Amino acid sequence: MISHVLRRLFEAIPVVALASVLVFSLLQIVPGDPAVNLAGSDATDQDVQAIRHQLGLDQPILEQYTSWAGAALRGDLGTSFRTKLPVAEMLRSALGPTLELTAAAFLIELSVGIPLGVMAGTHVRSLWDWALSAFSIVGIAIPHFVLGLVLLYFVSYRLGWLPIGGRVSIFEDPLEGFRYLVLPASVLGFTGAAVLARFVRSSVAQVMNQDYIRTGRAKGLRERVVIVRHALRNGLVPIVTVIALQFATLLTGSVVIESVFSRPGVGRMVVGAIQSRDYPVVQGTLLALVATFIFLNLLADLLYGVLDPRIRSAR
Amino acid sequence: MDTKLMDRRRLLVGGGTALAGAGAMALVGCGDDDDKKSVAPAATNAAPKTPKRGGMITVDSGEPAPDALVYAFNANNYYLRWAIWDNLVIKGEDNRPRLMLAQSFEMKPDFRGVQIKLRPGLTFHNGKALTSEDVRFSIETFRADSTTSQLKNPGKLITDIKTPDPLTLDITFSSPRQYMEDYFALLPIVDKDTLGQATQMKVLNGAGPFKFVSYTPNQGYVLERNPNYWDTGKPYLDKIQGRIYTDEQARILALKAGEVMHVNMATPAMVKAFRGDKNLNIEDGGVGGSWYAGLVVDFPALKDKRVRQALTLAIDRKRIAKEWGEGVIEPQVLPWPKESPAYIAEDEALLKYDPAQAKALLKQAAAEGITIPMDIGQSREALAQYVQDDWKAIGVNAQLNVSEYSAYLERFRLRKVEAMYVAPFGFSANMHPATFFDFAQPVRIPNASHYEPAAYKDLLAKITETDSRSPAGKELLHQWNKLYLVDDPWMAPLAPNVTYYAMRKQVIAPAKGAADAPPLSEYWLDA
Repeated sequence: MISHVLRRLFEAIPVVALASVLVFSLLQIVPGDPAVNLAGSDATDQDVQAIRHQLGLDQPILEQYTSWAGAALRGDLGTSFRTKLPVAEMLRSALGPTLELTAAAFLIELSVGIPLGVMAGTHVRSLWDWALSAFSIVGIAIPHFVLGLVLLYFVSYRLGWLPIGGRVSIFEDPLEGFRYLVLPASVLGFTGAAVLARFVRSSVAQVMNQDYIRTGRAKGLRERVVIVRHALRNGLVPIVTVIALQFATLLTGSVVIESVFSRPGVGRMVVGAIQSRDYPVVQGTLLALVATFIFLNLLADLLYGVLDPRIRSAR
Repeated sequence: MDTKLMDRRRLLVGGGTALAGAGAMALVGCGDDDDKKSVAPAATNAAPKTPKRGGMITVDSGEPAPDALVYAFNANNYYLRWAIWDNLVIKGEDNRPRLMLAQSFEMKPDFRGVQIKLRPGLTFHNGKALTSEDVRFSIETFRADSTTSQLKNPGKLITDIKTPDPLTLDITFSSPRQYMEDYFALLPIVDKDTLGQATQMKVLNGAGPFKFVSYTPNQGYVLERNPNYWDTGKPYLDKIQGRIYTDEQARILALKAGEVMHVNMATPAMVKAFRGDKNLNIEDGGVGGSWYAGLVVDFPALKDKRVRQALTLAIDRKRIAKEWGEGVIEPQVLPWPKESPAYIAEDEALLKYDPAQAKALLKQAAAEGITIPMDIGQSREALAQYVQDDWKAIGVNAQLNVSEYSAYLERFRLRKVEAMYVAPFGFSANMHPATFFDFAQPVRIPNASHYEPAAYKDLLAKITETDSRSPAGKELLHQWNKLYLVDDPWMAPLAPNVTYYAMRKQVIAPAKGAADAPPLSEYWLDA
């Protein structure tokens, strides 16, 4: 197992390296000069050139990349052009709120998506199945921002039950933090649950036709045992990949949710950085997200082995 | 401006997220850099009652632009800037300086300098004494070559600063500059020991009515009362909490629900949504600039001034005000606030919607069917489409090229717009018109339209030297209005840039002196 993990980590190195090149190159292609942005409206060409020099933007592209990548390898993601703060520090402060939101949404997604999918998968063509289809269509079709605004209007404004925007850390004040978290997490988790439920339904429905399910029933096992221990466990193997990808989707989806619900986080930070051409912040954040996705994929890979011993022994 | 430099109190402010949506604003008319709507600090409800001490208000703030906190005017920094840093003076409604940190402010009779006495006993929030050396440092800082400040150019008109004692400054200008008091009404007095930390939003140290407590990126900030404020008994509020909303619908709901109590950049759409809400007061800050279509005069099809005149005549401003301005704003072609000496009521009639005359002019110039590329920054396409439609009606093919705001802004700042663009600028009623011509990108020289004939330079020079309230000054300003609207247009006015404030009923935000800066020290809660 350890050698497998190490091998996967080793394989991730070129992926991260390639991602770093792509992230860096994309920003070079995007129109807009950070120096001009920083220089202000009254700046002369000399002012702009001085800023370019100060930021190292007048260096050859390759040199800029190697300098940035070399520092990143040492854990230094650079300094924000605008705030003069270390990117790592900005990332740390933005990551907490985003992970809080994403984790909560993920819990909602799992706790809604899996049971719904299992119910529909074990009752194909039943009322449950049709209800799930309707839920999935609505969940997938409604954009986050629309659902978010509708809920803000009714739940927060009309009913006054929950705040409209902002954030209180769930660790500092759990009750208040929950009040600020419940709407954005529900909106974010809703779409994910709709997608996940569809996958679970298909997977479970397929497994329910397998011989070992019939055998289990023939042995006289209770239906709940058949479903939970045999159908769900086997059906979950392909779903683990979906879940890992869904978590990544939640992270990116948080960009919109953070804006609608006025929550701090990585999404809003990176959008602001893109608008102001704050390259170090964009590069550092995207690189961190790439690393996160790679980690999640690795985690999914390891989970396969836990869920299915055949995969573990095949390694 | 989205980003969004800062807000324009009607002073030198310009542009804005407001109507169109995103961006940064700049000082006096700075044209395009500012994307936030012009903000006339004149917020407010009349205050017939005795102010009460205590309480906290929550305000709707954009994400602060730390690199522009004190250096430029940016709507997102509106409350922070004016809560933390005081000036020597601000401009009053009578267009005269009102004293803040200065105990006296005496312009020399020949307008070649000013003598300033500071109030004794002034301190920064951290307890450090504020002296004439801090004023000198502030002037030097904001005009340094290494600084990208909107105050840089006027600051360079100062040739000598003498500080004979800790409370006195004797300042000399390079030439007679009556309007330099506008500069001092915009210059924040900063602390040299902590200024470097301001961009990190960790230490914001000034001598204003509120002290900085904390800031959470993308979430907001907290300010608390400065108990040692020079204006004894003020501020009335104990705290100001800034909350950052990026979605306009969320901002609207937040104010209606009472989560936010004061909004300084209400857009026409917001004003429309707030009308009829018994819990809210809407204040019209008045016209503080203009949205305009900039015309690059050396673009081949626009070299002939008859073509530019035609394009200006072809715009239906009533429709723009009704539809784009949500019926909230009234059409106006002059960029000036009505209280400004440059607002000459008769001049408003110089330019009227006249497509027939526009067509005739195009025919005379043999320019029928010309094509004009429109360089439009994101969030402004809605307004640009009205222009495109009106020009189509006279046979001009305007090609709408929309690009991401930062990319557009770069072309605008570097004066590389090819033919035409849409932008806002702002201006304060309390400012001398000459300040506008010094600061505002679209009208100063050089400008994005490349409009700089010798006669225009002469006119600006004369306006700068002349008392704007004298008959001669009025005549010069009339000449400028006529040139701008009719004779040789390089910008076509589209809609006035109007500032609205929205607040909960219990928030009392006096208008007195607000034209230069929001009098946050005088805000109070009538709970």
